Amino acid sequence: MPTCAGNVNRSPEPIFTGSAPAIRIKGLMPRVLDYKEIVKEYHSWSGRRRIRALAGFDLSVERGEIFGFLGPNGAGKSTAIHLAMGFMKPSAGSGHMLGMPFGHVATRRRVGFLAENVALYQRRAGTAIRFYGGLSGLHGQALEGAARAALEAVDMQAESGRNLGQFSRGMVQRMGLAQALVNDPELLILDEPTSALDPAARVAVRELLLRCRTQGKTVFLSSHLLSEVELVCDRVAILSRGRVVRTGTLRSLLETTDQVEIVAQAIPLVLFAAAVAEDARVRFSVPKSGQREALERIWAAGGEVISVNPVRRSLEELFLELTGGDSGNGRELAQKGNAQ
Amino acid sequence: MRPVLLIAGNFAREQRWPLFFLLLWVLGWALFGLLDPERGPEDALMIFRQLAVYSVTFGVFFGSSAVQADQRSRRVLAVLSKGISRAQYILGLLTGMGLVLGVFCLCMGFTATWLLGRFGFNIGSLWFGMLALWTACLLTASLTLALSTFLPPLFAAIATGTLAGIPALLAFRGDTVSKFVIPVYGLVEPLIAASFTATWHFRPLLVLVGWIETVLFWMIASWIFSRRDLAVAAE
Repeated sequence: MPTCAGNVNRSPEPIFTGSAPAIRIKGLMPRVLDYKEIVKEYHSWSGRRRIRALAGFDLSVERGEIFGFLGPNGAGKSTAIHLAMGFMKPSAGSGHMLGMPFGHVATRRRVGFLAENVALYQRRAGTAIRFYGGLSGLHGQALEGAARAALEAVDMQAESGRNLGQFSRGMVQRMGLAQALVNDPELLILDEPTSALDPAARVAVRELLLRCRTQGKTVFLSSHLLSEVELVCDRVAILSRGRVVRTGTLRSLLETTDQVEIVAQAIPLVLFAAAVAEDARVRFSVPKSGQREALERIWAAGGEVISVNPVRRSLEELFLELTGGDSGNGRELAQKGNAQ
Repeated sequence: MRPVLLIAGNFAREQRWPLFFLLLWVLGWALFGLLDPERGPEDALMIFRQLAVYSVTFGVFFGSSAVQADQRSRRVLAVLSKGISRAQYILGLLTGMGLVLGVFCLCMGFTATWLLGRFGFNIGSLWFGMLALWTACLLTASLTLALSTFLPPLFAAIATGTLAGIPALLAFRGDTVSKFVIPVYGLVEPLIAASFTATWHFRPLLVLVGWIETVLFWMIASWIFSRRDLAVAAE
């Protein structure tokens, strides 16, 4: 059945707690999403006010990965997603989704999309999912089975008889995820899929995404929840002011090249500046160039080296460093005003 | 074709309450005939004429708000993210409008058959009139729908009135060609002028032209809508 193997809450399979990257060689995996030098401008009716949402936007997403798409408000994340879905056209540049130009109708049947602040027709949950499945070209028994599996995947099968108008925001979001999964998509494009969910539901969605990856599906995940991205994504792109400012695997992005963290024991705390005692151990960071000297000092003092690791930044630190705290709120408001 | 029918059915379902209230009008007319048969045929015919004009207005109402409502509520994103084209989406909405307006015209026709038929009204002509009325409603809806793809609902409604009104005025002043340009007035005119004594002059050619222009406006609406950005900002 489709939808990433049923109900994730009741799954006997182990829960992944970290990113489990498949072996992939950059450039050799087929690209499922490919933006090339895309520019997108919004302009007012008179054409006087122009806002550039994306400028020289380049990005590639490879098959079978969970790709995190990060950026502050107004950075252009939703614009980039809407371009891929064919909801709007680029002002310049081009892009391909599953090998076809953006907006290709038949290709969208192989894609599942969840919009930010999803809105669905207020019908009974089961009927609504069948409606969206029908729009994807499913019918008959296949549609019935796919709708049931999609509802199970988001743990909403018990609510299938209830009207969406009676649902909480979190439940509607889960329904949004179900409609994205109903056609068993090769590519899932999710814009803030967990923003309205409680912690338990977030864990369930995270497991669902990991399960999708094990089935060979590609997930393009836009999210503000950096901790969540850090847990599930193989690669991330950070967007600021309409440009991709950094792309790479989480490991390569978060490891700094100039600092190492050393943990040692049986040495005096005063041996290294800014060292921190943890139980019987001492933890401190030194520049990579001073690593050998630090180790020799430990051994000379009769100490024992427990570990030497490159210092890892948190994704939040990296995000703030690259975006420079650019909230982009004003820009986004102007953008909304012009786009309407 | 299935996605078109799904969207049409969904539109009709979404409009079930407006349709219900419109049908209450027809029901009120029927009750009028049932409870007060002595008030005379002329009163019943006057209400019939009014309903004919109102039904065209309903076409404007449905046509002007359909796309905008879906776009503002962001529900259009989930629909167009599936494997359907914008032309199919517009056709689905138009078919849904045809369904809703068709139900209204059908109920109106049955009520008129019962109520006016008792006073000797020509029932055969009446049903042809209902077909013409439905065509007029659908033509108005498709014109408004085309305009609403780039205008706000109110402006789309005003523009429809203007675009359909100018040829009607010209036709009224004797211009024969104008009769076939957005022939809403030409289609509804026999119903507005209906009487128990006068002979009805229905024009099958006008109905055909009405259908052709409905398709034409659907094509225009699809062409414009497929070139529009669906820039829907998250609230």
